[in-house]
Amino acid sequence: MKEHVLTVENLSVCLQSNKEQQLLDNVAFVVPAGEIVAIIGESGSGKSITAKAMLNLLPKGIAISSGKIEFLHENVLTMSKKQQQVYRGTQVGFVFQDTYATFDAMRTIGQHFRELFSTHTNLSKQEVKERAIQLLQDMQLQNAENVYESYPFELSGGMRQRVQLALALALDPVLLIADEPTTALDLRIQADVLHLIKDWSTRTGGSVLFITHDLGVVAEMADYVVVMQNGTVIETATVMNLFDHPVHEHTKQLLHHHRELTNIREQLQIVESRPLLTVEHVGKAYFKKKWFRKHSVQAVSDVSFPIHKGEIVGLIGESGSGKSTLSRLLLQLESYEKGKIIWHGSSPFRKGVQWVHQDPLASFDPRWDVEKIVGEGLDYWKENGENKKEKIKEVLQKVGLHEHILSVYPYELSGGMKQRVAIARALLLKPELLILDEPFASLDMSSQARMLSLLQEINKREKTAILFISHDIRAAMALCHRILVMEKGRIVEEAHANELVSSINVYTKSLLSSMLTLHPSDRLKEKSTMEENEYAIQKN
Amino acid sequence: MRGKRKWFVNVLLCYLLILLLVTFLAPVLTPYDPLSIGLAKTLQPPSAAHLFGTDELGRDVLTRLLYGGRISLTVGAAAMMMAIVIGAGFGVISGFLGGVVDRIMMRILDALLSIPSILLMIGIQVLIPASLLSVVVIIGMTSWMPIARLIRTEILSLKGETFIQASVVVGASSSQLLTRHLLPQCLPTIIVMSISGVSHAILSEATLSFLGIGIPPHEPSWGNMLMGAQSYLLSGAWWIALFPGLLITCTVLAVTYLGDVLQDRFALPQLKKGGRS
Amino acid sequence: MTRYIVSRLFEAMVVLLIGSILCFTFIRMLPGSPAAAMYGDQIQKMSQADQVRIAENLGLNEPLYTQYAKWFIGVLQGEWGRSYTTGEEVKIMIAHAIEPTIILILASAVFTVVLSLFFGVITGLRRYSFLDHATTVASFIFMSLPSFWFALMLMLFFSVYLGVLPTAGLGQEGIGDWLKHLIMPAFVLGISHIGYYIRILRNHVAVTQEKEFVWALRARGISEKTILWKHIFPNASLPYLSFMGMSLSLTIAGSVVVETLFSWPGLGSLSLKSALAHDYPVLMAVILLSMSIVILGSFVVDLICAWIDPRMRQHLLKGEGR
Repeated sequence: MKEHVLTVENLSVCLQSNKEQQLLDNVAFVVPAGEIVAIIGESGSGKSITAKAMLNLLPKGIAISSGKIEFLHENVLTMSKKQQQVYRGTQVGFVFQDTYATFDAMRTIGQHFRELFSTHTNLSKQEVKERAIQLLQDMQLQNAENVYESYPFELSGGMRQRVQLALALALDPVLLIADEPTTALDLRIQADVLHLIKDWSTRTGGSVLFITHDLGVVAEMADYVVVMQNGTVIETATVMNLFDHPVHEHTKQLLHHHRELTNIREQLQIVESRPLLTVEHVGKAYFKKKWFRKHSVQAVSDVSFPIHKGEIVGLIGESGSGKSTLSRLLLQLESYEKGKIIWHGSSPFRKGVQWVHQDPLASFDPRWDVEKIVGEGLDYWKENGENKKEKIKEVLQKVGLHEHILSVYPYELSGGMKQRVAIARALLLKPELLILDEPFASLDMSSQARMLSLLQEINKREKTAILFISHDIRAAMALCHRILVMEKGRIVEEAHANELVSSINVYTKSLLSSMLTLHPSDRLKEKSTMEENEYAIQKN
Repeated sequence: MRGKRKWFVNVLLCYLLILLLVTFLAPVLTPYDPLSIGLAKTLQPPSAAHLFGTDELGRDVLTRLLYGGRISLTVGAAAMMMAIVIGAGFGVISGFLGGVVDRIMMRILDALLSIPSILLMIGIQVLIPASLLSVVVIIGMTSWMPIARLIRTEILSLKGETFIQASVVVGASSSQLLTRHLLPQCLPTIIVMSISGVSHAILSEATLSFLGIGIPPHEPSWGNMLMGAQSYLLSGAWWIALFPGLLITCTVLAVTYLGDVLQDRFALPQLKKGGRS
Repeated sequence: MTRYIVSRLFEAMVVLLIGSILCFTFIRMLPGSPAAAMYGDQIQKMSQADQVRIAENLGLNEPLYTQYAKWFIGVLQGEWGRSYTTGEEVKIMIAHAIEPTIILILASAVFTVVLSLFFGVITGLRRYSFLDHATTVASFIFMSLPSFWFALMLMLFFSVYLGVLPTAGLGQEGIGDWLKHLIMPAFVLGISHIGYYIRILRNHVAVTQEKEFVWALRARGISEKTILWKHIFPNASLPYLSFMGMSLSLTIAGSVVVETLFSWPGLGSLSLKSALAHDYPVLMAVILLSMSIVILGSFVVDLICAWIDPRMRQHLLKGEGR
């Protein structure tokens, strides 16, 4: 049997103000040497607190009430302050989800490295720089020298995540703790970062404790899985066992949602000849002022496509591909210079096209309750003899919300419910086209699956056309009849979901290849085909 | 809210209430006339007959304090109102219109803000003869700038918010955006600013009158009661200076503190919790 | 950085220009014509022809913008006119008054900075401790004190009752005497806004302390001392610094009161004296000068902030305004 790097026994965490309020209850698991252990759970399951407890660094007002955390046979909770600093700095690396907030915005990346090395080693400034640049290069960052001199805000999210990883691995830790490190990133970057972590583990024999809500990530990465719900561990298994023989009800449900999200949608037979909306050669450029010259950036160029009645169209692209700009053009929130957008719907454009934003909370007036938010549209499109409240109740029911939330403020609702409120607001005006801008971005996996079926239902029942904008090719293939792939402001491919898999477009292929595996057994297959390919290349 | 703070808030509220009551019932409460001069009893220290003593012209200090409170509080409220109307108007227009108009308006604001307020007051008082009204106008005209800047910033940042765009998508027009979202969102700021505006105006009135360019001397106000106090103070008549000053401090303190409490109250609940879920 | 300095400098110039236009308009609104201002009561005794000739000589018949341009160029060249009351050149009067004011403001800044740094950081780190509550109460009291009254009370105690500190004037007899004269006015001026400084620093230290990057630093085993002085403090000091720039105008306003009270022969007391005597050239010069100092001061503070915080440059250059 392998040695355990980390052993957690009976860990309980509670609020300091109210000892009854248990956030973690008797959590126990082990991390064997050289293995990757994933903790999976939905938001509120206590997985993030577990990660922070491993460093004995809990947020203010939360305390460990009982239990033991043993790192290489030493109890973390009884270490002296000095020992803890050494433990945190050199033995364990930590990677966060938020790539911006975890850097001191006033210091360069280089200063972050220098500080880390000067605290824990005796390297000279020059040696630190060499070492850091080596680390950054290991993380496949181009221009490592430039990155070293940059400020955090000058880097993209993907770059910052690589830098974070480099910082975490800088002092050759024994254990890497990663708290949802890829949730906010594009698929290709996610795949890269996951590979980097995996590579590090196999290369150095380091262990990884990986926190995620995505079973795809688990299938891709983990050797062992710990499933958490409401602050307790409900199932611990090897990754194969978990996918093939789940025991707990909740685990089964998670797997079911995962499968739902990865089904591929059939294409739609289009009956009507005239499309609902036609986009013809639309272009939009932004101007940046530099000194006295204007410098233009083409955000969207020469984009054309139709959307038919009752059709679900996916618009896939990475961040910066111009898909959000395009959505704002379609909504006429911004004006475009070139081309035409023609609306053929039966109701006026402003009423017929509705919008659901990726961050639902930001799209609600913070001082309004659900009733006011959902009903806002009716105030502007008054029709005689209508009972506003009845209509609101009706539409809430359609999106699966109970009417008792009418007087609730949105920040009190869960992520999935907020998104439903946003959809209800849009549906109230009986739109013919619904534009969804990354609607899954702030949701965990189960909510995503439920949202997916809700959207399909709405589409079927109301015959509402949907434009689904996302970076998540997996979700798009599960939801959409037709998919547009966008790169650098242009549409590079248009295909039906079931045809997309066999695409020959280079960009689409690279997107597809960064999709997470569906089942851990695929990993082994992939590995063998990769080895075969390499073998073939060597042979030639 | 913390228990201690609530208790303190109640005390301050009571104080302000009593102050209002007492100053407006002054004629009923005190037997003396604030204006009549009694040369027989000048500069008397506090006694049973004159609780806070008498001033250099033999007038009862307490009586003058009560009558002076009427003027000081009126000036405070009126000047604040004027500042809020000008400031909020300027800020809303500048922020809502944006673009070139906003830039020009902001530079004008910058210029006005860089003139130290009391110099601006001194400058304006040269133009209009001293009276109660002129003091209100002077204070109002010189203290709206920070309000304008704050409101403008708020409107500008609100305009970029997603929920405003969401309202556009469901069909709101510009004027509906302004009345249904932008202005109600600014209301807490306006209320908080108007409260701190009262403190500022009371202090400004006191300072101006003390310097001799505020309320004309024969009518008592908390500021001009202190006007000649310096010379009498140095000769030992402490009561002339002590009581008006204490009253100003306590009143301003109460108003400022309540404004601060209100500001905390108005903070969005989700911000209090520290960000999103 | 160069780009930032240039664009920020341009902005400051525009503000100064607008300010000077305001001042010019203001001068024109003053009672009496400029001719009357120059010749005083004699103007009434002059003949009609003389009056017309004077108006022409002064350029009063030219369009307003020409008059403004001439006036502005004159101001830049130091033609600030003569005092109505003493006949002395305004330039010279200002030159005499500016040094005491600068000394007073610098001394008060020392009080403010030292005290507010100490209390601001400590209370920010230990929120809701006894010291924090006491400091909060004290801050509120200092915010509410009318500074002239506070000065009177200090005089009453230190000069009348204890008799240790003088109440008026500059100290002429050696450094000890000089300090004795300086300490009370500087303290009064410094203390009047200290509450704001303390609260700004306290709140930002407290907020920064709970930021995720601080947590990340702890997770990397960086010591608490380093975290405080190299990360929390610099981050929290930015709003503190920019408040300092903004409050320069408040401090100059405060100096009018304090200088008058302590008979301090600076710009502040000069401005009030000239206002009471309707000595407009002097008053205008002081207003214009203080405005320029404030604009220059906030320009310098902005540069310092941008030098410390790279994001600030980014922000302004994007043209999102401040």
